[in-house]
Amino acid sequence: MKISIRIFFLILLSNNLFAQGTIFGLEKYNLGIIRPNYSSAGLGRSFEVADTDSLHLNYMNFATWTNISYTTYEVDALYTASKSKDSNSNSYFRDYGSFQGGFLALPIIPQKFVIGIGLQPFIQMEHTVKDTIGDVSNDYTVIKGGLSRLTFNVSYKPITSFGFGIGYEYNFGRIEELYRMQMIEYGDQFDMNFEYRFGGHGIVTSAFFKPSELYSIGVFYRLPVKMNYNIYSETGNSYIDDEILKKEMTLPTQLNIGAIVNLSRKLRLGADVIYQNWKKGYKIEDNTISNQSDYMRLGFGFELKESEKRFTSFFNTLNYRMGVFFGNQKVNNMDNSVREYGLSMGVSLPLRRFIFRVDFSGLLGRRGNLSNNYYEENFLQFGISISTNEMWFFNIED
Amino acid sequence: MKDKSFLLLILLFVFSCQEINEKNIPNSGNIIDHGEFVNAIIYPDTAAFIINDRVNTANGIKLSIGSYQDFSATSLLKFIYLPDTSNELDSVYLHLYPESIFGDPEGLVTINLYQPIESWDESANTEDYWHNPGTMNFITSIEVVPDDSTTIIIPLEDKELIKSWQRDTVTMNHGIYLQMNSSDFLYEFHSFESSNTTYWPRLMYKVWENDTTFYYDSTNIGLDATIFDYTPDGAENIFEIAKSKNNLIISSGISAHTLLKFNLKDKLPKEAVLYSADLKLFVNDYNIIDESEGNLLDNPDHDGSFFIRLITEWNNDFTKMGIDSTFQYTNILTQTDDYLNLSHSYKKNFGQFAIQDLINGDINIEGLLIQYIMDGQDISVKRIYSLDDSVYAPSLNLQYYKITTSGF
Repeated sequence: MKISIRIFFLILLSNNLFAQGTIFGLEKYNLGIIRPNYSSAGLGRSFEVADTDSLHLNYMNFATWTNISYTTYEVDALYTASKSKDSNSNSYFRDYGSFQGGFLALPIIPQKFVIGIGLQPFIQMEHTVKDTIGDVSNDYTVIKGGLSRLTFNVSYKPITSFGFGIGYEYNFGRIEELYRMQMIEYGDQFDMNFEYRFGGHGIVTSAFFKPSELYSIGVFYRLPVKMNYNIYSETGNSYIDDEILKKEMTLPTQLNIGAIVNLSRKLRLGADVIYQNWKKGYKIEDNTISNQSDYMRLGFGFELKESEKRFTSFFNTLNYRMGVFFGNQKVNNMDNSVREYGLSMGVSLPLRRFIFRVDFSGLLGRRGNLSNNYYEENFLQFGISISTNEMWFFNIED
Repeated sequence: MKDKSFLLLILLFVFSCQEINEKNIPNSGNIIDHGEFVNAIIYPDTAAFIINDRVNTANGIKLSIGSYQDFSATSLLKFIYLPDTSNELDSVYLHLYPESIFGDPEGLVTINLYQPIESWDESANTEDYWHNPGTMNFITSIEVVPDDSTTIIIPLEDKELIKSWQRDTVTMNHGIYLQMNSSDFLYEFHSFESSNTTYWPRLMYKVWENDTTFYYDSTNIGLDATIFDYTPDGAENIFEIAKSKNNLIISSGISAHTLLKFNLKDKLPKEAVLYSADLKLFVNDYNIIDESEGNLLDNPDHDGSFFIRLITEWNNDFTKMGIDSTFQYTNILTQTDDYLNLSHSYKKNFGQFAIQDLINGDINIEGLLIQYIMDGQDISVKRIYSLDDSVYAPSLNLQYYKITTSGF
């Protein structure tokens, strides 16, 4: 019961903790950049979709949760920092830390039928930009907030080599925007505030196929998400402020495909492809939004797994991971797509072997290119996941 | 172990709350805006001025007597607290302290004191009677050199008058009516409303006490009112000439308020968020009758501050006019160079709390009324360019943000 209280506590708190340390993503009708919802383990090796680990929750494929035997929960946090420069040789640094949500999986029938619940932020925005072009004022826009999804999923494994899952997601969130005009002549300011409150339903399906210990394949599909949002404004103009605008937004489909090849008991290779059709699938009031690209991320990596021996050296109890990734962000910059690529690595530290572990990940990457974009930035991320297992529904007396 | 894990989660939470301030903010030409900033000039549809020759002078800080350019002023003055009757009066003097003078006469001027027959209060200028009070008992007169620095001391030798005031301060004490024989000179004395109490009108008296005389001056508390009149020589009525020349007038003494009718509802977008609103009135510094000389009636000693008041309704001949009583006198025009306008803080206040309220539908503004803050204080006339002037026409200068879209 203590665990559930902790999870509830985290769900409540994490809702307000959206942030994003990047200079990209601030465009009209834009929702920032996409950061795939990998766990820290997945982030470190750059693949996760086909991972059938029985001690770990796969954030990218709920169907694989059918492999767990015990009640499992996992929470994540992420620190990200970026050093950017623009075409005029100005440089910028920004960094933020934030929770990345958490999941709880309850195996009703161990290794066969699992239900799960979780909270996962998927759009995070924290931007401040200024426009000094005008002769009346310097204009500042501060955008803060994001979107999250509360997920309920059911996974079933009818046969050992195949499992599938279906999930319902309630997508919600809030984005606040402060538009400030710093008047040049008098130095005072003139503010307008807008708040966008989102809500909408989504459905996801997922499956994995593991015909042998040699390899596994995973697939995840998210249907287009229809969201409604209300716009609240605080401008001083009651005609604007009293009218709560209601609009509809459609988020695009998402397809994750992954494969893992186990070269040995300890070493495995994997790859993921993540795709979202933002260009045609992102709509507001049934209109597509300009300056969007389809999101694509291709990741490769390997993982050196811990020893299965009960008594072994400390270093043999660790998992080591490394990967590379490259892809295309969803938002254009200077009318050109924003490419990103990078190197990832990670390590898994067992605090209590096979039950309680902490995953650390680090990532170095580059986003954008001054030859195509106004900005380019080097970024790094540090992630941490804590996962633990407990027996909730086992009758000890049996 | 569970407790440690929980502690670790709490530490993670604390860590995630640490928002690190950005060291600099990137410039971007792609900033999300919601519309455009607009500088708009709106001209009145109609402009006029209305005259009130019965303005209440109760709060005037000056007492004026004399006449200048067909304007004239007389004053009523009454001391409320008088010496008791136990001691014999030796002599009594009225002290008047000049605040300023208006005009430049040669020689001496004569100040006459009369005894009013009727009782009065400080709103006497609003009553017709005091503009033609009929015959009053003469008390005394004094010839003085017209300058603005010498205290005027007038001996009141009629001790019986003072005694009658002492006996019955209600029915017998109607105070003094002050009048001055001059054709082109106004004396402006400190009144009981003057901020400097040292210069309030004062009744000094000397009494015998045990074969010795003592001076007392405790009687400088009283009532006063200035009566303003304008009696032009036929065709030289400046107000009529100003009307014929399509000029606007703002004046005090004989009070004139300028009225500007704006059709703001139709000229302002309902999506406007006001930053500031400034009213600009250009001053015509030339004499209304003879434009080869300057405006002699623009009293240099009158504080050059003006109220803007909101007109909520009016008819075409201005006989019926509604003024927004909830709109306080918080928007003050002052003269800068050759025009009247609002200071920056007043511009913001006027824009964000008056014009914005109009757009929001919280108030109705059919027009603006502009008046001297103290339009019962003294004689002063400002001449303002009106609509027919292509360069100096009155205007309302608005700065607002027109919202055309939300961010998403």
